Amino acid sequence: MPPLKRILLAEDNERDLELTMAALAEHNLVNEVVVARDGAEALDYLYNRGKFANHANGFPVVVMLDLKMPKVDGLEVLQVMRSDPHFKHIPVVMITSSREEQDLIKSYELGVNAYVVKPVDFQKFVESIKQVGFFWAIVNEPPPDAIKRD
Amino acid sequence: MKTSVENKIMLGFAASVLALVGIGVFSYRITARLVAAEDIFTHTYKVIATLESGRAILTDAETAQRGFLLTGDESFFKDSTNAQAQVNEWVEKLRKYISDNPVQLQRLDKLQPLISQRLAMLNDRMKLRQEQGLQAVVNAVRTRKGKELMDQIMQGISEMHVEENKLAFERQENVQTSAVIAEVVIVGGSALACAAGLIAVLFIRRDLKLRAQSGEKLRQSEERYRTLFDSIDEGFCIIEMIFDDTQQPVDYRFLEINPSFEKQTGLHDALGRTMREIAPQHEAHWFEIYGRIAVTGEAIRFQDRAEQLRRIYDVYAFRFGDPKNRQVAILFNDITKSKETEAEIIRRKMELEAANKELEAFSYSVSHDLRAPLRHVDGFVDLLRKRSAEELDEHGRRYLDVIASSARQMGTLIDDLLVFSRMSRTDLRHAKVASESLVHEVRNALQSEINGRRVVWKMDILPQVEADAPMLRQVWANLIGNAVKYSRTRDPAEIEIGCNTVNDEFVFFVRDNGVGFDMQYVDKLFGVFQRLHRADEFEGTGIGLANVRRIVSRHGGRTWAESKVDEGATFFFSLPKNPNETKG
Repeated sequence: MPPLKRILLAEDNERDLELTMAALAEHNLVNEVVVARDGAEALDYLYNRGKFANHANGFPVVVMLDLKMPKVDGLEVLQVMRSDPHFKHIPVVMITSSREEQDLIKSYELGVNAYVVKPVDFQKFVESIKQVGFFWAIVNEPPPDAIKRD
Repeated sequence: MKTSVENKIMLGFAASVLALVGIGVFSYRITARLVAAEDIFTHTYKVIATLESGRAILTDAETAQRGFLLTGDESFFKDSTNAQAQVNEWVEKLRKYISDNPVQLQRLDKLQPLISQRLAMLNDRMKLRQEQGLQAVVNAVRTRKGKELMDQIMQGISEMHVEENKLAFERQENVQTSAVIAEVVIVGGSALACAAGLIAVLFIRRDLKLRAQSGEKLRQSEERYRTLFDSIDEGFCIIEMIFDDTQQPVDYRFLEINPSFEKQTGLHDALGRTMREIAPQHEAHWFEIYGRIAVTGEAIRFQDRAEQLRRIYDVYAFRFGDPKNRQVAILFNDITKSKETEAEIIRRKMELEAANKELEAFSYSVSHDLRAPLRHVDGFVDLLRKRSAEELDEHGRRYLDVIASSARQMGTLIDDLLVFSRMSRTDLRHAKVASESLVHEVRNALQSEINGRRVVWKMDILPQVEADAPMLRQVWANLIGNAVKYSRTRDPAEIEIGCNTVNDEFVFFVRDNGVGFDMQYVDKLFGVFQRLHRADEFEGTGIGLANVRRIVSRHGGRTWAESKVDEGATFFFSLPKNPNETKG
């Protein structure tokens, strides 16, 4: 039986995904991650449908969302989650290239838990991802419904 | 006023005419009375004269009789007889004269028998002389009867004389009184009439003068309005509305137009013609509007397009004169140009807004999409380095470093550019800002940069200003940061921060003793990505001073700099003391 996936990562860009996974690997968090390639897939995972029908992973302890994604973007996923009592309390971290004020404002208005700008400098990027993953997946006490670490 | 003056004049004339008529009537009557009195007076004297002549005739008759009695001369007899005949005539004459006076008549009636008796006596005596001679007569005379009778007659005549004299006197008195009254009335009345006439004339003169003055005023006022009408740039016309059988306004005729009318409409010879004749395609709503004004009297201000005239008008129209005439006065202005300008401004504003939106979209996209590949370059270089470092030689590893560093540098440039573009897009939030504490914050933030260097700070007291605090902080950070950076080669570095008040502005400055710059490139200093030093001399993207200039300019201030190569530089920026008067 595969280990339970505790991090839902939504990222459309293959290279960003690879770099993010590399960063997470440095903290041995890769096995905890389930990847959705856009917002729609992220919602499919949460609602147990489509590609992710019948998965038995339960709710993730943290959802990492890229802001700009095809079909359904990060802000829309956040909005759906915050308006659904099941997912309302799951921490969401926006991980994005943009430092644009409007995105920041919208994200916080919708109830994001953290907002991380991906730096160009890879070392700094790795550092950011490591910190986010470490904090939310390991240090933070998740809501009761989420999957607890053994 | 006018009517009252006219009334006064009429009153004056009426009074004078009335006085004159009165005097006339009175004079006529008094003259008539005087003439009558004169007649009576004359009459009285005639009566008196007649009475006296009576006395003479009687005496004549008696004298002639006495002569005959004495001499017996027949000629005396004849004379006496003649005189006696005259006496009878006299009595009749006298009776006629005094016929209007009963008292005298009564006297005459008493007198007449006495006279007849005397005359009879005269004739008896003369008969007696003829028949019996002188002696008989003397005896008769001695009886003195004749003398007594004669005395009675003379007495009666005298009484009548006295009466007439009395009458004459009374009448003279009357005439004199009337004459005095007439004099008074005529002189007084004439004076009154003259005075009334004079007053009336004075009033007329005054009225004429007033009329002349008001006429002049009216003429001047008319001239003024005519000048106004003729010289205003606005078109003006008076039209008469034409309605069809169902009382729908269908056309109008130009009754009056001013000189600007032609310029404002481009219509020639409009006067007297109708709008439909001139411009058959003129929109119906124009007729409707003017028709409504003509009917309701409600003045209307509106703007509308006249397609056939190819113009847009600003119109003020109101009913003119008697509502029955259905005339409308129209004051109008061709605003086609200003409308076009307005449309052009709106178009440009929309273009600008579109451009701004595009710019925003662009910078948003830059922020997201341009940074991602750079991140990938740096990220994969790093992964490559980790995986294959031992397979690369020294050069290979250096190349990887260069690639990564270039990517990061470009990342910094993009970030700076985004900050710069955000600087002009975000709204200013004005607040009172204490410049001094801002400068201290900035100095503290630069502490790591100074890093053991010796820097001598010289600081004036800085005023409080109205500004967007975060933006102003960026200005100070750039200027002080530059001063620290470019004085790096000095020991000690000297940095002076101060402020002067010039007119309505605060002029702040940051002076250093650093490397300075060549004044011929001063114009490039504040441009985006313009640098006067190579990156290996002094690091930087060349965006800092561009940000300073943009922020200061958005606050209504100016930026400039003075320097000499190797002798330090001074950077100035001004801020209005009262920023509400300028728009950020």
